[in-house]
Amino acid sequence: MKKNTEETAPSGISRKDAIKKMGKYAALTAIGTFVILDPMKAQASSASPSPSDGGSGGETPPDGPPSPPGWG
Amino acid sequence: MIPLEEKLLVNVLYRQENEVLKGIDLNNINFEKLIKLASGHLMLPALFFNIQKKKVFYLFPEDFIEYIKNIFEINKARNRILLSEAKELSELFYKNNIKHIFLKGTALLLSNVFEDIGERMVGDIDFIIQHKDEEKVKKVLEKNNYCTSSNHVDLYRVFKPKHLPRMVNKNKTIAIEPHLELLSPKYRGFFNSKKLINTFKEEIIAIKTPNEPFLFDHCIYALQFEDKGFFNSNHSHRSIYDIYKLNCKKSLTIKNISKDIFIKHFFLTIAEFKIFDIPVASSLSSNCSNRLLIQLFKVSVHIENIYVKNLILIQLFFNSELRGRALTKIRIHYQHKTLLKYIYRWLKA
Repeated sequence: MKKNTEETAPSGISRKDAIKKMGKYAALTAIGTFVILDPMKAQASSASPSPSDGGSGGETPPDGPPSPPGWG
Repeated sequence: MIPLEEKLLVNVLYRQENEVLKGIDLNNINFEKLIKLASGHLMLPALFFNIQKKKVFYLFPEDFIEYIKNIFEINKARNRILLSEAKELSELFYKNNIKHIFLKGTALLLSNVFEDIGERMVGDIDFIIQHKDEEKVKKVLEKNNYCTSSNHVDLYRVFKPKHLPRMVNKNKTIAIEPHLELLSPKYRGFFNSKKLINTFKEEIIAIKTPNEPFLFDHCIYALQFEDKGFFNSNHSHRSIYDIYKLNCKKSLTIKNISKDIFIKHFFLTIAEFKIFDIPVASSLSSNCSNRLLIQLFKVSVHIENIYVKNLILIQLFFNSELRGRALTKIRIHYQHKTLLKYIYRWLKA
């Protein structure tokens, strides 16, 4: 007989299921959201002005994650 | 045809509680798609805030609400830090007699445009300074432990850049972006910082933001030009939400909208969502002129790209740091690519 070792929350959902479901939505969330929410990632995404900014930063973008989209 | 999930997002954000399900069968909603869509537009916190405000929790799965609530809370805590760091920065500039105005998301939060600071996702602290203060700002920031990315290389400048390299401080959470202009050089004929810079003549006050009509214009022009909304008719729900919250009744008259092709294009692109009660119609002549303008822009962007690439190539000769970086990149990626092999040998020689 299988031993039931899982914790069950008052809502009836097991912890394993909750993590699974949280993971499901997290996996579907656009990277831009995490780049903003995670300070370390956001700081690492230090994008310099692009070449279109008038040549001031005509370098290849750094290897960090991309800057979040939009006008800020 | 608007996807059902996008319809639901728009209804939750902009309509009354009893209209949230207007034109929607909830059984056909894919909540995973809704997460993808809303997060792609950086709208998960705003979605949660409006679900909470309109008390429509019962329409969504429990785990969905739990997830976006977490995102909202994290974002709210982050924005609290952002506001406090913006204020600290302002005091630092004030002490050093540097005039500055906050821009974009930071300005919207500081201007109390939103009902709750957790609604808006903001990437970094943007502010504009006077061109003459550029070196002074760099020195003050460096002295206060702000530094640019280690990847940054200073290049020869032809035009005033839109902003200085993004800076971070290991003791702070939010990165900062000191602007010298609002848009890239090629778009400055349509919208620039002249009006804003004029307000620098006024007395320094610690926290300064542009007025709401200016934030309205900046939001639309940035979307139309920098995010290419004018060229590919893309829309951004975050920008739409900003415009909705700015509630610029004076700017939102049909006369004002029609006379500006870019503002008109913004409202035409989102007309299908029926968010703003403005009957913006496109005539045949305006359609033709729009297309002509778009083509002209595409040509100018193409010319600029060629020009910038050539400029970088020229700078490879004079900037040894840049040459070193190029060499490192090529060393990693050149295998089996004959042209790259050739350039690698050439650069190394």
